[in-house]
Formats: sequence, C-alpha cells, structure tokens
Amino acid sequence: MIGCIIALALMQLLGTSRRIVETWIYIEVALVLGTGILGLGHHYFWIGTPNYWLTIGGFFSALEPLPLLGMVVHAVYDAGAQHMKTTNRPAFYWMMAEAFGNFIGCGVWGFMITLPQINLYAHGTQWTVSHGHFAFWGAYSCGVISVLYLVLQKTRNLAFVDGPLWKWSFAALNLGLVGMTGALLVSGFVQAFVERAIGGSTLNAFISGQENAWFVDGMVARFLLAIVFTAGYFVLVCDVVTLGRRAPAVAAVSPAQ
Amino acid sequence: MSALATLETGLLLGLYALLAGIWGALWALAQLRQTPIFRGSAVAAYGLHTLVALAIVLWTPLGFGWKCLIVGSSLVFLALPPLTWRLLQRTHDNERSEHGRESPQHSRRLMARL
Repeated sequence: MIGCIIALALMQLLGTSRRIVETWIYIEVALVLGTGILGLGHHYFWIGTPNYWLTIGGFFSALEPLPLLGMVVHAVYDAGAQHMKTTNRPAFYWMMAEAFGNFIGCGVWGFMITLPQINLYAHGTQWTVSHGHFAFWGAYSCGVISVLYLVLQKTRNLAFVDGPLWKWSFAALNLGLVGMTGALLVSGFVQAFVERAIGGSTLNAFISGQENAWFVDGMVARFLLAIVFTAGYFVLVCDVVTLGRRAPAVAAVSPAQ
Repeated sequence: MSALATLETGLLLGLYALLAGIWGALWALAQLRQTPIFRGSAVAAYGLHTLVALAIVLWTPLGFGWKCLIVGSSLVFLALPPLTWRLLQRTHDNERSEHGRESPQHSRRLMARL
C-alpha cells in the first residue's frame, strides 16, 4: 500500500515514468513476499505461538535490511538524477527522509533486536519502543508528509512549494524523533540488562530497573526531545495551513503545460 | 546468553546493519560524484562492516546458523549496491531510448517553471 502511494508520489514529484515505477513495484512485491511477510513473524515471539515462529521470524526479518539498502541506493540515484531540483522541495526532502529513515528505523534498530536470542531480553522494553517509533516514522510518517505536500500543491494550484517553515519543521521533527529514539534506546538497554538479563524479570528486578539512574535520565531526555518534536509538529501544521497564502499561486495550469 | 553478551550482541548487530547502509550510500555517492574520497570512504565502511561481522562470528554466543546468515548477508550487502545501480540505469536508459530525444511532459513542465 505505502509502496503504491510512494510510486504515485514519485511520478508526480520527479516525473518518473509509469513503466519504471511499475518495474520497481513488481520488484518490491517480490521482496515483500520474500522477506517482509514472513519477517513479520518477529511479532509472534513470546506470545504463546509455536516455537517455529522464532526461526521463521528471526531468519526472514534478518533479511529485511537487504531490500532497504536497495532503497537507499535508489534514493541517492534519484537525488543525483534530479540534482535536488524540484517544484516541491518539502515533498522531495520528506521522500528522501523516508528512504533513510526506513533503513535506520527498520533496518538498523530492528536488526539489533530481531534475533530471538536478543529479543528474549529486549521484547516489551523501551528498546522495542525505540525501534517501533523510528521504524514507523521512517516507513510511513515521512512518506505521508511527503504526499501531503504533493496533494497541497495540486489542490491549491501552486507552481512552487518552498519556504522557511517546512525546513524548521523538517529539522525539529527529525531531530526530535532521532533524539527520542536515542533516549528510549538507553532506557531500553537498562531494562534489558538490569531487569531482564540480571534480574530475571521479577517484580524486584522491574522496580530496580525503573529506578536506575540511566533509565530515568533516558526517559527525561525522551520527554524533552518530545517537546522539540511537538514544536516541529505545530510548525508543520502552520506551514500546511498557510501554504497557499504565502507561495505564489498559478491562476490556472493549462493542460498543454 | 549472559547479561553483558546480550547488550554487546545487540549493539554489534545494529552496527553491522548501520555500516552496511553507510557502505551502500557512499558507494552510490561515489558513482554520482566520481571522486576518490567517496570511493575510499565506501571501501572503508565495508571494511568496518566486515570487521563487525567477524566480531559477531567470533565473539557472540549466537548459534552456527545465525552466524552463517550474518556472513551470507555481508556478501549480499557487498553485491547489492552495484546490482541495484545497474538495474536503475538499465530501466532509465530503456525508458530514454524509447522516448528518443523528446523529454517527458513532466520534465518540460518542470523546466518551464524553473
């Protein structure tokens, strides 16, 4: 679904031909069938499902960084082919953020905890929360914001979309998100180490994990960086609401153009 | 798996994937810019990735099958950027040759606006 939306966005944003986009959709579908669907098996760890999910989920989700690396290479290729020139800069930059965020959030953060031996200790801790935040941001949110800008350009009939506000929101949202996930990662390490691996998941171990200074500091840092993220969100809303009023609008785009 | 080994293995696995991503991005940048600095950095990133893979194989308590998966993935990571790049060039070249010298409608519109 998100692949189709991004394909449509690429056609609108970069003028990529339908044929090229369709070729890559077929490749993506093959990769999703090969790694993604069974890779979702890592969601079935430790919830009472049969043991074979540990092998299936661990193996196929360990393969997931491979197609994501292809996506990074593709993003660099597109950026070079376009010389970073486009009529909708925020949509283009958010699309690039999608490729890199997807690799880091799903590929790197996910690979840390996807093997069952590690997941036994990391499951349900802030380590998993950190991966969830980053993966969702990279895989979906950046793409959704990119498409939002594309839709606004079409519906408000704007020749160019640019300006200072989207840059501030882009910086604050990404900085806040990376900071939050970094802080959650530190707290997650403490939980996996103190509460799970050393303490053996007892109530006392849970409490000593929650009272650990590193855990508390991580959660405080997460809260502070969430404020940065929220500020970025409000700037984004402000930009989206006022976009047509600030940018020079085209009276009508003739079909010949 | 001991408590410390859990953290060490998790961090090494994250570093392993991160260095693979850096290798891919730098390799693609080296193709675009054709400068030795990017090419050298890409090789260095893959070298570090190989070292991390070696550390995972030698020092972590993962099973034999998982270690084989790590080695196999490293080899695929090595081949993936050139393969993707070649496929991208081929699909774009095919598209250009079919349209001849005529630029697509979107490109004309983009150039007119710029």
